Amino acid sequence: MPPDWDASIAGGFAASLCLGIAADHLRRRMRIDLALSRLGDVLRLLAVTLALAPAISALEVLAFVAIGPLREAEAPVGFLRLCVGNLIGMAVVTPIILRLHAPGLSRLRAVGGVRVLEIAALCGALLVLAWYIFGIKETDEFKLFDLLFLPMVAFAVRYGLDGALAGLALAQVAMMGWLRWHDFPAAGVVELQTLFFILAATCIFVGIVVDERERAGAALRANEKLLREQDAQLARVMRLDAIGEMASTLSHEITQPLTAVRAHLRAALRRLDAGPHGIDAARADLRHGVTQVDLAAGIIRRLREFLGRGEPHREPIDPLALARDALALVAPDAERGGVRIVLHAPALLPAVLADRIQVQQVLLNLLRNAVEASRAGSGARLVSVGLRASDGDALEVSVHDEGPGIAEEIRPRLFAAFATTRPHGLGLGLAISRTIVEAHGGRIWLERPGPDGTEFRFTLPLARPA
Amino acid sequence: MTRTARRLVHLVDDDPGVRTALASMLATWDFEVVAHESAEAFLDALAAGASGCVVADVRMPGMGGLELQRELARRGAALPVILITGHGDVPMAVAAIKAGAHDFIEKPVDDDALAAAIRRALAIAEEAEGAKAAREALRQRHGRLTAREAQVMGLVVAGHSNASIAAQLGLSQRTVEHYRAQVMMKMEAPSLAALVKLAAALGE
Repeated sequence: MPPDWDASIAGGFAASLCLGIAADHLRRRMRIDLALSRLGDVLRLLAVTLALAPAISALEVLAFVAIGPLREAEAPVGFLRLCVGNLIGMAVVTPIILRLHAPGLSRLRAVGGVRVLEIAALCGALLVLAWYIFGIKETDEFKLFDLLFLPMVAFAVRYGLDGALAGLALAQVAMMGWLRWHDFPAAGVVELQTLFFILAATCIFVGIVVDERERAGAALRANEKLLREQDAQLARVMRLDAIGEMASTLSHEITQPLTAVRAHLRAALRRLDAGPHGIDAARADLRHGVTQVDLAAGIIRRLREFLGRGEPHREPIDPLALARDALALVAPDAERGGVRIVLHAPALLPAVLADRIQVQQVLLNLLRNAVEASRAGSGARLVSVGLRASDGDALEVSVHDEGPGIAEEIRPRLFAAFATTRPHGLGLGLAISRTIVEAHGGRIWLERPGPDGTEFRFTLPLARPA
Repeated sequence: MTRTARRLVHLVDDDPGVRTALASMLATWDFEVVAHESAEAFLDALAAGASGCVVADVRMPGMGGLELQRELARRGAALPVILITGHGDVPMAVAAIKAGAHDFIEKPVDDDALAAAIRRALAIAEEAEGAKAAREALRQRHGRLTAREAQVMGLVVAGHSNASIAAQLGLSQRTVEHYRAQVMMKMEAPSLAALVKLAAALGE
């Protein structure tokens, strides 16, 4: 059939030319991402496909009519068939080829374990449905076509764009195979292919939306993790910085009066040693020395007030909410160390009268110590926080860990400043905690020193004593 | 130099408590203490040719002890500076010594150590001052020589004999001997060796 050959070559040439121009336009003007990673890329591809299919089909029909194999009267029907065929071909085959060339994105290439079974089940369901719709002559394939949506959407939802494309390819092959088998009339094929195009477009959209959501979720998770890490780092740096700054200021402030006191005492001693004529001057030195000691005491009092912030802002607070806030704040640290924190508390607890920020500081401090101890010890990495009403007018908070415990020699000075077991610790945490708790009219103590369980407890007054 | 100047300590500290205390303490060591509340106030009160030594706090609002040390060096004031540093200011102490501070003492001040440092500083200041005075006196003596006598002295110190000097200057040997005796008398040199030493000191 030489004329048919000529027609095919002419039609093929026209189609290639159109496709080449379209592809160039997509890449250069529309800047499409060839991996089809965004919804916009697929939309642009489909839009161009929709515009291109009729154009190519028209050129092909013109070529066929001009050269001979197609009569003019058959041209509209021929155009329609070519159009649908081209549309399906481009809409399904182009994305498949593009995805196969996409670098390392395909999740279908990296399936393992349970997923193989799942994919096999989906493919099986698809083939059975295709057989039911197209393979049994007695069923009406047009009415049942929609059944294909079930496995196809499942492919798209589970495996994104790649799953959708693979399912579409399989469905297309199955459909065309059964239709061929039954010598299905060509006119009906056009209509079925139109339906198939709708199926293809739907599945591709669903697939790409699923992909995008997954990518966004992954990005969000990565971002959150980064933020959490930065947050924790910043908090640590700020804490160290604030303590370092305070220690430096404190040391200067205290050294000044100490220097003066020492000089006055030495002067007094030397005057008294020199003989009775120096007694008056020595007395003046001692008086100055007393003034300087008072000055130093004032500096320390101011520091205590600063740490306890003088008159705290006290209000009735729900101890449960307070504990949950503190737990949330240590959670990232605990998570990193594989430490679990559990809260034991009755559902209803009376409100305590306290400064929220200060009490949170105490609880945070105990929790951080407990988490650190849990990580250091060989026991269970479990920290328990307990809240209970005690003795009618106070709330008792306990923080329990299974760490190595508190060494015997440290226990007597546990709540004194600068007593620490940590190489880089300042030993201010428990001292500050005690200042805060006592300023609230509560008590803080070591209930169990370890090593089989370490437990700190403190009390806070209730807002309305029972 | 008076006896007071040999014991004079300029105390510079912004903290009135520390200033009063150190002044009282240093007084028991028989030092003459003049206290200043800032480096700027001290510099304003500083007269040309002032003597003694400076005890200054490193950490002060405005000019600190380290900058004071540099400013004194810039003005050519030969006052040794002892810096008082807060606890743990080791880098600052190193910088102080490099900048030419005489010594540094950590707070709270050990008075024995401070007194010893002050005495050393005053001794150095005194020595420097004594040498300066001696050089000044020598220069005055040399200034009393006539041009001819100075010329003869130069040649004598350079090792020339009287005959050689007479020939060089176109004078009789007797005249040279006369000039030479004048030089020995005016420079108060008991011997030729002493005259050579004086000339060397002058040339410094």
